[in-house]
Amino acid sequence: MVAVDHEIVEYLFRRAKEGDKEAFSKIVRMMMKNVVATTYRMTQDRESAFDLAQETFISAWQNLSGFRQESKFESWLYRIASNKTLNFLKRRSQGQTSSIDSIPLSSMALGSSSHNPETPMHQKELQNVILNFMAELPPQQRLVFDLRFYKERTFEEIAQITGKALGTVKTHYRQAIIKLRAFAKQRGWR
Amino acid sequence: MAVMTCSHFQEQMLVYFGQKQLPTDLQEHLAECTTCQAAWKELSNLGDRLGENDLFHPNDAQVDRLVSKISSTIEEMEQDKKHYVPWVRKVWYTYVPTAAAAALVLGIAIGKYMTGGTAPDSRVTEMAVNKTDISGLYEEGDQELDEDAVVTLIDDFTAQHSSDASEWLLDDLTEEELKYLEKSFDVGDLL
Repeated sequence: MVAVDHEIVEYLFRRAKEGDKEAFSKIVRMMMKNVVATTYRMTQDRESAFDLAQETFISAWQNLSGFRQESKFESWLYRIASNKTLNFLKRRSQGQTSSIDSIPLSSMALGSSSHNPETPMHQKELQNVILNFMAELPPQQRLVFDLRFYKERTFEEIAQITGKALGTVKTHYRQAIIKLRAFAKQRGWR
Repeated sequence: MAVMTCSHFQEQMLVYFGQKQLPTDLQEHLAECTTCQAAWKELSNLGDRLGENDLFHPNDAQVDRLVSKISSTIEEMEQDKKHYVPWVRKVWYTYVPTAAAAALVLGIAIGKYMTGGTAPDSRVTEMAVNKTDISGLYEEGDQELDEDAVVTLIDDFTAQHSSDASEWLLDDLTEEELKYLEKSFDVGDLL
């Protein structure tokens, strides 16, 4: 996760809320890598991940004035990204968008070498492993795992982001880790 | 207080997987229990394997492109917003005054008709609506003005726009028109 200075983000957010486009642009730059990482792991498709990240930021700009700051701006942003991504996955599973589920994950990861041509082979393999593991999880569990493990959010924040009860969020995470253990066992990891 | 078992702690480990800070009771138990230590080590190794988040980050050039795309989309949206007139305002400033003017003119016409007068000349009606002067009534070939129409026009403007309006109207009349009004109507000290 790219370390983001939360105070700076909150300050820029307040300026953006007053209509400062430059401040918003700085937020986009600061948060982009983290948002794309989530949408990428969730969708397992780079182009969709970029599109969803763009939609997230544009939607955030459109709704800035309505945001009442009951949660942190970053949590709100992840909430938008999560909703958009879950909706996308739902549509994709219903065949409304081009499905990549049928594409072997290994080929997607190779395709992603253009994403970063410098990436060493073992990193591509690792990328594959992570995508394979994420593919084992249902979307809600995938999201909770991503926010907890990669974004280091508290369960309370995740409950806010996903709109789920605290207990449900913890259960999703627990189940994700049980699956991770089984996944590792299948691959002979120790 | 219920005694916590290893299975309880191992359940707890699932929830704290990937976290740097563990609850005190779990830390204390791990310090003493080798079975749970092994379980926690196994989980930590899995975490280390999956922990490379950077693999999914776009590179700087891609971030630049995305930021610029988003900025230009926002710019376009802001431009559209400036040119966009909400329908309520459109109705309020365009259709309502037009409808009111049309209703007024129709009302005058009906009123005049009901009281036995003649409906005003359509040209007068149009000019009353458009607040133009009456000089346009005096077209080439016209021998004289329609008296009712002129009365309607003056009354209408006086009623609607205070006496200033009739003065404004009279200011715009030609000398010939003024003489005609003086001769044909009881204008008192209006002129």
